[in-house]
Amino acid sequence: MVGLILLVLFVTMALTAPLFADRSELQASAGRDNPDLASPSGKFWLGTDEIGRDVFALMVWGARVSLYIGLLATVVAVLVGSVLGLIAGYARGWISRMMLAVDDFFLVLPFIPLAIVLALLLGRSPTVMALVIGGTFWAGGSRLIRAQVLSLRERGYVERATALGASSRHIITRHVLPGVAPLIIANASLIVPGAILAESTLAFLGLGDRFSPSWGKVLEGAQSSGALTLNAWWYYLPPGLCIIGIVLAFTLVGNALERIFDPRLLGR
Amino acid sequence: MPLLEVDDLHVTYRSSRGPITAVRGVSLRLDAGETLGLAGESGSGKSTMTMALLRLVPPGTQVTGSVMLAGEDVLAMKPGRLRAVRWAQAAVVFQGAQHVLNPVRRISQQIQEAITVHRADSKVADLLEQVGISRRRGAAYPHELSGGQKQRAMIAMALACDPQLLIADEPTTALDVMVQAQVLKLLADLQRDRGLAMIFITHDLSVLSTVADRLAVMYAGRLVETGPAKEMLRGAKHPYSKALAAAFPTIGDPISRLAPSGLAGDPPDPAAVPSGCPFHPRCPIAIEECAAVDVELREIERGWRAACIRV
Repeated sequence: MVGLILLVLFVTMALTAPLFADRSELQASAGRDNPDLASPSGKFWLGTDEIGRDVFALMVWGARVSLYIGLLATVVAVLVGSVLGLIAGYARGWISRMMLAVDDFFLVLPFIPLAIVLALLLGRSPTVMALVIGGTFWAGGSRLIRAQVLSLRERGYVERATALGASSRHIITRHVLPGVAPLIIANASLIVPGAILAESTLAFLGLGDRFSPSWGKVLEGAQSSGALTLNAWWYYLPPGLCIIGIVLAFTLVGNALERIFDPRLLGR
Repeated sequence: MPLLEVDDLHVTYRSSRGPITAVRGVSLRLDAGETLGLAGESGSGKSTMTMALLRLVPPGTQVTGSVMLAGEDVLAMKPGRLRAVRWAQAAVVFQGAQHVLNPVRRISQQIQEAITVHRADSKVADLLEQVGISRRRGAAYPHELSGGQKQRAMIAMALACDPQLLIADEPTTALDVMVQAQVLKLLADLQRDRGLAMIFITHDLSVLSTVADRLAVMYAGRLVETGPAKEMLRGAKHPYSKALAAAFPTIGDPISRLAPSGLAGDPPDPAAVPSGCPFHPRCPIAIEECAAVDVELREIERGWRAACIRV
């Protein structure tokens, strides 16, 4: 419940960002006439950054960027993970073994170096960041789905459907996919916080777009401008708390979903 | 032309212990409208044999011989043709209906599945009524139906594409005796009305007496005896068929009730079938020769054959 409220709050913030601050306030020129690193005041609710931009504007627009990247990355990861998981579980023989090997490869790859290399190669727009994160985050979910498909494949009603003359496509869409759908959804809601954290990590390490900044990017700005030593808490605290908040929100919602779809977890 | 003609069917499973031959050369024929009762212990290969008729075997399993279904060799069919033939020409009533019904889909949806796959033009409601389930129950989920109703729903599903052959794989196991009798009567009625050919698998010979025209008894992947049902139930020739029949006490016959005779030992491991007649280690009338000479089915009377040198 807490998770859901938090989530609604963040989503509203992201959707209504233009009401609070104009997009132009993210440009470097927007802060030309403002004091640099000013503490919170009536005009700047959360003070300004080192080039005079309104931190509150950065925060609400950051919600957009962070959520966009987190959700798009999740969609990519879930799509890739589900398709490959389904194939790996349903196919037999060398196809299944090859899928498993690819899965293992992505599971053991160290994420940050890989993502940095990919981001440098492909560019640093939010969409590219989302694709990079999604393209490396699918392996765990794929493994989960494969395991479930392996069990579903042996059910009596799959045997019946085969005897019925149903094609593999029919069996997968009518019997296997509905069986793994709850798993896919619960898994997706748990990938989102991971993806947002990953994005923040990469942004903090210097990747990402300075002028459509995510929360991680704002944190990087705070770090590199010395806001921490200058004790400019209004600069680094809001994006930090936002990241913690959204990760918490998605994790709580994800756990709740998992409990709904798999009531066996209730007793624990 | 018979509806089904099986010739020298072998089924070999792949396993971690190497290939295991579960069916070793079965030949049989079935005319339209005829019911063949197939009996045998667990592991005798009767389910494997019938499922192999539609190539419903795990991938990697080897099926050789020939299976002519309505003049077409099932074993030579391309996958697309095979899928079209499955259910449309030969449908299966599985044992244990609760496992073969998807628990999260409505009964009517699952029957519809068969109709959709084959673009048949039957109606779910009509099918349900034919098996004695009211059309409103079609909206129920499998767990809301009784065991007998679930099995009836399975029969309705089997009839969806108007098949010529019905393979009933122990359709009455796990049902109580009264429900069992109802399901048997339903199958017999449907068979008569629609002129269905049926292969009825069971290990319970008493069930076969009410439905089957002909009997076939399997042991260790082979047919050991086949003949007219009534005569065979009264006096089987092969010692294994005799033992199988004697295992059921006759109601009203105190002698058979007091001395139900079983059969010692277990069916042979399909990976190590005994030499000669595979039944000889358990056979009460075995002689030395049985261990050495492989026996073929021999005609003992018209339409009645047994694989035993002592008969």
